[in-house]
Amino acid sequence: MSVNGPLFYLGAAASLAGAIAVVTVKDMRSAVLAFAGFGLGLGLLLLVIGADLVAGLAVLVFTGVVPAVVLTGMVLTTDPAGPGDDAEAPRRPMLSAVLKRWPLALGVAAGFSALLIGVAATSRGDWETGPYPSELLDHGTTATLGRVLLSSYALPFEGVGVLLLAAAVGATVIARRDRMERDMDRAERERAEREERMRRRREDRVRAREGRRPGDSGMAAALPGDEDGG
Amino acid sequence: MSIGVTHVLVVSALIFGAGVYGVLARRSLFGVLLALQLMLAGAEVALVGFARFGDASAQPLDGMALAFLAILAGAAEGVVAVALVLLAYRRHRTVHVDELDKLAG
Repeated sequence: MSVNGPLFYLGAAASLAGAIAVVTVKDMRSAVLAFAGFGLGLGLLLLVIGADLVAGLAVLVFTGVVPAVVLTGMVLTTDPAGPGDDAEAPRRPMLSAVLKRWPLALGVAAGFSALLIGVAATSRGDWETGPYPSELLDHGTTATLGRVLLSSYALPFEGVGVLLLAAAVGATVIARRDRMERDMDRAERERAEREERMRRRREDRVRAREGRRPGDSGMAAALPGDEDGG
Repeated sequence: MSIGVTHVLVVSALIFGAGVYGVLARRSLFGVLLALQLMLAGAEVALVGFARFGDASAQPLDGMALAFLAILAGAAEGVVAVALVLLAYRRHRTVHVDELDKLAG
């Protein structure tokens, strides 16, 4: 049984459109949404090819995990005083979502794609299409792949479990405020307070001097009381 | 014309190319991160394509298992990358790659 052509092209078009939108859309929130759409297209593509378990996992990760994590990160890095996304950058308004070197990036990306497509096109004859196991076509890959993952690939599977745990713990540790940052914050606060104190003292001194300048002792004696009141 | 390994590889190459463009051209670190995930997804499409149509199609589960594990590893990478971006933001108050140009401090 061969792959359903129209569905394959639909999945390919959806995932490609999503991928291009992810890298070209100005607003980062829209880019994250486009990434979720890309995940759906990719899921359809993989499902049509016949990798149903991988398709399910791809949909879970690419439309669920990655957008959720990235959106959370964007919320945490958005400055409440101004927009922190790609669309508007308060400091350098001339730079938009895309760096000025985008033609170079486009050239490199096109070169990469052309190279890969060229390799695929020129060495087509070397890739013999072997007989695809018929039971996988009839019943899908989920049951068999699950059995394989827990038997011959048990070690890598467990390794990925440990990796995910290490990533979660590591992310928490990295994102925590460490002592250096706390010290820096405290030093910054103390410096600001010291400057404020010095500024106030300087103002007091200037005010006192201006009050004394008019000259006669009667005024000078009256002023300190005045200042205490004010 | 029936769908073969070349079709899948062309799609994979285009997704990978879009990811390369994003990594090089995006300003925001989050955009770069999404583009990296696109590159990873392109490679996964190629893995599944080879498993289904290529030389490995008589034994497709190896390629699919590799794609499965690669997707999980990519998810872990994304989580750590977001944590690093948060750290960079707290130290430098920006997530734009062109402003993060100090190597130390």
